[in-house]
Amino acid sequence: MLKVEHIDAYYDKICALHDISLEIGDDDIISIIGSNGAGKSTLMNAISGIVYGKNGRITFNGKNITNQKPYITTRDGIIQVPEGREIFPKMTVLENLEMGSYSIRRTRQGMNDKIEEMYELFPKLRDRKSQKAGSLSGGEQQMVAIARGLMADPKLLMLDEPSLGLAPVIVDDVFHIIERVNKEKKIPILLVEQNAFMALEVSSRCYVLENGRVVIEGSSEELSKSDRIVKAYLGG
Amino acid sequence: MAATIIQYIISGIAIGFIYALVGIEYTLVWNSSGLLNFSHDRLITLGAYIFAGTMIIKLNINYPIAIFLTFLSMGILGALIAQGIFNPLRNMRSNIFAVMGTMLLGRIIAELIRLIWGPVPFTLPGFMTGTVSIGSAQISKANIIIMIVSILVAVSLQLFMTFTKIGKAMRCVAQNKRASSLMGINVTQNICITTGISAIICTIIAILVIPLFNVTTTLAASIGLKGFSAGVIGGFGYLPGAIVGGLFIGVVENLSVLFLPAVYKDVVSFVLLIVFLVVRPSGFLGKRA
Repeated sequence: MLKVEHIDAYYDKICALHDISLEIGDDDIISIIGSNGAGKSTLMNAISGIVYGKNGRITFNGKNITNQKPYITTRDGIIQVPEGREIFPKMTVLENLEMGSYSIRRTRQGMNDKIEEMYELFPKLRDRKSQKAGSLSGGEQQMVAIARGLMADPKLLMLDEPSLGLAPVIVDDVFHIIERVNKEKKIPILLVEQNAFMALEVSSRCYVLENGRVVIEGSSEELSKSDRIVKAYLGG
Repeated sequence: MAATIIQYIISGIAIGFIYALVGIEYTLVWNSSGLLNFSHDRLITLGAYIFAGTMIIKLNINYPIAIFLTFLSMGILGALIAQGIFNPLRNMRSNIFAVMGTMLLGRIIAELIRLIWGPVPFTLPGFMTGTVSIGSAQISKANIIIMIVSILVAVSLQLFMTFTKIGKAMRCVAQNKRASSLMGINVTQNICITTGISAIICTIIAILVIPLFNVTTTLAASIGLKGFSAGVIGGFGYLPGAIVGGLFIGVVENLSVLFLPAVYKDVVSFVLLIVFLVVRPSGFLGKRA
């Protein structure tokens, strides 16, 4: 459904991505791992249209979305949950969720049903719904960010470092939810992670980025046994 | 004596609401685009000239339609300013580009006013004049209208920002532009709408102060600066702060004539501004940085 072909991308005139190609199928969880500065977030932002991509092209269900304005890409159904959560801190949890649905029309009832669905997926958010999102803990803020993304009925959900800065127990929760979203709601997921162990465990395919290039790609199961991955990313 | 003090306080509250509206008008733009609109006092002046000079005196349109047409033209102008200056310049390496842009725009508007309507001040005879006596105090009708309209503007703006989709999007854009665009909000368009609303509030201020200052090229020079002080004293970037700051300045400067020669009245707000910048830069309601 999403096809990235030979994309170069620039970030402040420094070429951050070289000749990247990847593909995401209909119910996949695809992961992208790599160290800090490898270009993982730049790739995600190039798909969203926040970073300018050069050469190559990005297509989504046949539509060319290369360098499309980010708000249009969102309306096309590609939803990015950005690194560092970037929730709206001065708005309540409920308002944050409602803003997630900005790109689609919902009736009052439809909105309530959708929010109820999010509370079932993230029961903690129900208790916190009238609190300012900025007052929540890191893990809760990550739940708000993912729920806010799901509120847009994504056709493709892109998660940028959902485990960043979270306690290990909460990281487990987050990955459990990612798997549930993929299985129950049939939403394909593009997952960018530094936590290679978790990323390989939940995804079916994995791309390894180094210095803005894809150096290894393959099924996550095989990669998690490969010597090179174990040495470089799994601390073996 | 008591009646005099009440009169001072009431006219202080009225002019305080004007400062508050000025504070609101530029805070909206500041929150939305991260830029200060240095042409805002000229926009207020322009609004007064379009309303009084063109709509009422030249075309002789009746008041409600004249107000509506002035709002419409100023709202469109605001959106054009956002599209022409704020959006192209807000991502430049330094804010100084956009600052210069709005300053020059202010000069252009000032010269246009002189060319189109001429330098001679004029007034609207019979517009919001007369007084009402409450007890032994005499209160001008203009002051009462200013208070009512300002409260209506502040309340409806609050409702708009809380309950409408565009208003909520405005709050999102003020908090985080990147996340807003990921929500599907067209940030560029939203900044245009916000600046348009800000220009309409400028017009409301303009119409309200016509009975106080007449229509002159320097109509908004002092309220422009005092409105800025109102924002700082109340808590910069926070809309309720602008209201608190505006009312505070208005009342204090009006009461100051009891103790100081009246010529020092205009100095009071700027002294307050400096005191707040030194002692409490976050203002009454702002969070300490």
